[in-house]
Amino acid sequence: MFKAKKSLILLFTFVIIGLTLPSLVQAQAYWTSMPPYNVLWPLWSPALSPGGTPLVTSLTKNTILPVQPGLVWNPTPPAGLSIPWPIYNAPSTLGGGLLYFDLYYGLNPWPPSYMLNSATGAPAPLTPPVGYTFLLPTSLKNYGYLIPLANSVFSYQYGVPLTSLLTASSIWGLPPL
Amino acid sequence: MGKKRTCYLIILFMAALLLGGFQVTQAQTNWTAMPPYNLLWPLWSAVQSPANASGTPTPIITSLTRNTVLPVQPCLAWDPYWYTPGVGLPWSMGESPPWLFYNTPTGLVFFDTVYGINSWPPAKYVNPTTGAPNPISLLPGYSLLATTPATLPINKAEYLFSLGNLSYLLAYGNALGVSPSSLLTAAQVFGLPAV
Repeated sequence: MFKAKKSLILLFTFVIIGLTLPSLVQAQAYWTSMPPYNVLWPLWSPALSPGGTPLVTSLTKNTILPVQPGLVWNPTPPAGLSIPWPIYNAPSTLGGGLLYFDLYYGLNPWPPSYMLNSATGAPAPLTPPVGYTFLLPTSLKNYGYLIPLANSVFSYQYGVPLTSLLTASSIWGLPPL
Repeated sequence: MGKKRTCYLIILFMAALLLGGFQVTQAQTNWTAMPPYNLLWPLWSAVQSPANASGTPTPIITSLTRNTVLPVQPCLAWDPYWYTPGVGLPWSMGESPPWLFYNTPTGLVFFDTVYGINSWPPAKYVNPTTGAPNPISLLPGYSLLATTPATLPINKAEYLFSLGNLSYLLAYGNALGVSPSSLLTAAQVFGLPAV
């Protein structure tokens, strides 16, 4: 009788853990890998992943972003020293195409050459680290200046109005002023 | 005789303490509250608070409203509590980067690293029903908070002026014919020696 009661309690505990664990894991999924290069797209950004669904399904040189800048991350060093990249649409009058801003390399056409097979030109996707979806969101405290800097450079180089670009507050989902 | 000497010594000691105390207090008064929103104005910046005839730092403006016209720009001001409430906000009290203010024909605008360039003041400082100023309640000791140059390792505000000035020029200044060289640099506001 006592043994049966103990077994029931154990079973109940396992059921509770089984039910709560997936939701805990779900809550910690901050990034998804974006084909064809497997750069990480922020699920934590309400502007770039509304309702947890990324705004784009792939990120090629011809992808058109519904809002800009997007933000992607290559977590495998040494590329970009793990600093995320704001990405932009070049105006169609200037040839179009996707651009990415790197703190060290400036604004350049997407993708970086190391993500392409040098012989065939086909995508050479990254291999994200195990557990990449659980990597912490980009720290606004450390990279607060990245978005205004990238936006200013893009606006200056391509003549896109600065006020049309997302601010860090929109990307990080902060309350309005 | 010995008692008298002790008294003199005590008086002398107290006078020294008093004078020293005044000097310490004077040296630590880094900020003053600027009406009507009680934003902190830097007394430590000679360009924004030049010394008056008696040597006291005096702000170049007396209030910071939408219609204030800044004699020089950008001007730096600070809400030390801006990012404190809420979840996931990046800075703790007293760590947030300051704001830079600029003139436009339609009123003051301010640059925030996270929110970009916006019209002054933010909704948070205005009573939604009456439209009257909703000033910050400053805690005692606010005037002694560390200067912006002293907090650079925390808030990385060394990038603030280059970015604020560039954003202002792109959003307003270029169209208004503002010369980039007319805008103050961090060095000028911080009072660094010329290069």
